[in-house]
Amino acid sequence: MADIAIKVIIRADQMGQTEVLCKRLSDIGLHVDTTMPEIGVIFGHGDAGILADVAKAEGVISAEAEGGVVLAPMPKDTPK
Amino acid sequence: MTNPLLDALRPQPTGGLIVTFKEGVEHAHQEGCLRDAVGAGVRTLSADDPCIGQINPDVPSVLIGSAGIGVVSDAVETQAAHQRLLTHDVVQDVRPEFWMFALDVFEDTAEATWGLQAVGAPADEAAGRGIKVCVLDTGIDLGHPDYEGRQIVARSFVTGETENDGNGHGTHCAGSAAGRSPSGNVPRYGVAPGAELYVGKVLGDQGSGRERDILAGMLWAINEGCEVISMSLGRAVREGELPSQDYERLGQMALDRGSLIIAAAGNDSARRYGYVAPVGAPANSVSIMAVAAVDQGLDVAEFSSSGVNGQGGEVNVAAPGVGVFSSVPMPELYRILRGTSMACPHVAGVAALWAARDANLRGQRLWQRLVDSAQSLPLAERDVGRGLAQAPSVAVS
Repeated sequence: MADIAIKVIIRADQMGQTEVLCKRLSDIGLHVDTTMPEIGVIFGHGDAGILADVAKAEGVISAEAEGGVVLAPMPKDTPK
Repeated sequence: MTNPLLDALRPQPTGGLIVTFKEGVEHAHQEGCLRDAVGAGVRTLSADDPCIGQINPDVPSVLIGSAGIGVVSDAVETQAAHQRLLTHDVVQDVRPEFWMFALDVFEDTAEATWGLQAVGAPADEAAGRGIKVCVLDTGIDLGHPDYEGRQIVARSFVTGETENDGNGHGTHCAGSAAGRSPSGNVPRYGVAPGAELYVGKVLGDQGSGRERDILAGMLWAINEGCEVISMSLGRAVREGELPSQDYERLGQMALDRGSLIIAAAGNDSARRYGYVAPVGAPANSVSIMAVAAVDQGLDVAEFSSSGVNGQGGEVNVAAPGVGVFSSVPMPELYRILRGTSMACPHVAGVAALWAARDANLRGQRLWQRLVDSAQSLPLAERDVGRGLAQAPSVAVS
């Protein structure tokens, strides 16, 4: 399966335990890139096949492919 | 008790009458009634009449037979005609004819854009002073002459790109929120030109960005103590989709720390085809204010997303988002754009004006003031929220 960027949201009561969570997720196969402990979000990447296991990990609310934003092109008749 | 102001504002009659005939009454019968009431001189109009737009005011009455409507001119004795018409049982209603006027339509002038006029932005060039307004977007053109010499705190969260705007979207949005008053023949286009401008580049020059960069930019703006954070970006959501917890946590953190995050509702509707899209993310978060777009006639913009989803997915306020003039990078300098992206920084600018006026207006209290002071519009709340965002009548600079 393809390597994808993954966003993990952890439970509010686990927000002080981000390092522990990162270790747990690494063991599943997530390569952690960035953590935002203030809001309980971990960004990483890994094989798409690990997504379901990451989502089921203890302390995790959700895990999904990281989204993004794409603005409409700049011509003035296209709403921005 | 009568209200003298309402009395002064009541519609003014022309002196003529509008007559409505009951359904199914034959044309000849309608014409006979009018002739009986006003004498000779009933003129009949039909849709293919080449003179339909040139009715001589001296013609005593006009009959639009196909619609069952008659008009009695003020050139006749209308009081007597009124009484006479009411004696005919085929007449459903007789009422005064009123003068009609074009509804308010805002236009750009030499002094200010229509958007600034619509939100009541003051002419004061220092309006919004002391308030940090952060625009999270594609960056800003720091070489633009309108930003020359201005203290701008800018940071890029996009890997491999500086804070310079290679797209134009960010410079346009920053201009609407807090662009300074340019000289020469360019109208004023920034709502709060005195505000301290923070720019977080979270979208690359191609106009796209990763969520991690956007969230990092939001955190930065909150930690920098920006009272107002403007986000003209987002993604579409499905009907029934709930807000993301990460944006929700950041929105709540912002409110708790005295910041207000304002986001564009989205441009995913196609109202001419009857499709109304839900407010996108992150504007659909409970703790993030969602802004819809209105046009120069204060009608909801064709593309503006709507409060289809509850639980944060409501539109909170509306602002100018069609035909919006603002700055874009050199060498073009200015461009007119449309979108809820353009409406959002108008509200951010208005928020800065309120925040500058009262130091207690921060976070949730600032949110409340914005919705309480919005000008009610005769449109569905799900489309425009509480109405058109309005600046305080006397801004503090």
